Amino acid sequence: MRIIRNYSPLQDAVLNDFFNKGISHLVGNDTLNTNPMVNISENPERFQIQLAAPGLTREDFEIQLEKNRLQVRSVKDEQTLGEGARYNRRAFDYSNFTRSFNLPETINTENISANYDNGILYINIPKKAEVIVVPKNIEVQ
Amino acid sequence: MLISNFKPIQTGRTFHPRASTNFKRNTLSTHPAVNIIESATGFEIGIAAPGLQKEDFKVTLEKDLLKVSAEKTEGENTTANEQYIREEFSYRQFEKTFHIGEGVQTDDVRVVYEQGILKIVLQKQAVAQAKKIRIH
Repeated sequence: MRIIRNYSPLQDAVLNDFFNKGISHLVGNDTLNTNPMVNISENPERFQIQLAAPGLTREDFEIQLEKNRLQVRSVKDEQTLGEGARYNRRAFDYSNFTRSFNLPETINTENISANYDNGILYINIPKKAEVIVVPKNIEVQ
Repeated sequence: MLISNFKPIQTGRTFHPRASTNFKRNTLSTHPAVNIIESATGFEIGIAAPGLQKEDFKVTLEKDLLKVSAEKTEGENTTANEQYIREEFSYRQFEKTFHIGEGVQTDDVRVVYEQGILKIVLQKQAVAQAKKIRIH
């Protein structure tokens, strides 16, 4: 009679994201994503880059402008898991990335600002005054 | 309802030629990435869904199914003049379901939203935790 068994009922079967597994395999969501996704919007006064990098803090970012090249980096120390803890699944880690943007000639490089809110880094890039088009009402004589 | 949130990228939203970049990606992600950490005492599910508010999430546990859904209630944070010239992510609305196996305490689920990550912490039942046996 076998008295002692390696009883491990909780291995991978415990948390099984099976509903999402199918689609994840299709779209490749199960691979580790280390490069944050970016939205860019524009209004008459400025461009705004929105960089989705959740799990960081303001201090983890480095933004540099060299001529017209804007470089965004994150430099976060590797987070160690508690003893005995491990990733069952790891699909994102934005602690160490670099993304660059070539900015157009029409931007005002002096007044670029950035803030980090709810996992998104917002970079506001104002346009030069001369390219801002202000709609003008023309009076009918 | 596996792919109900899937919106193919809309035409006319390519990046503006005056602001060229070195992007290669051109698909819109509406399905947040998930990390799962297992420790001796429990699990931590981390869902990367930046740009939302705590109030936008709904987490329910029904029998062995943990359902997480989000819907951004607050209106679009843009003016009429604002237009997207590149869109790679949009987590305004999504739904994810996880199967919770036996051995997880269903009456002790903790959920927090911080720095764009929804963290769901589940505890293992005592019997399922590895026991240390002392040798006399």
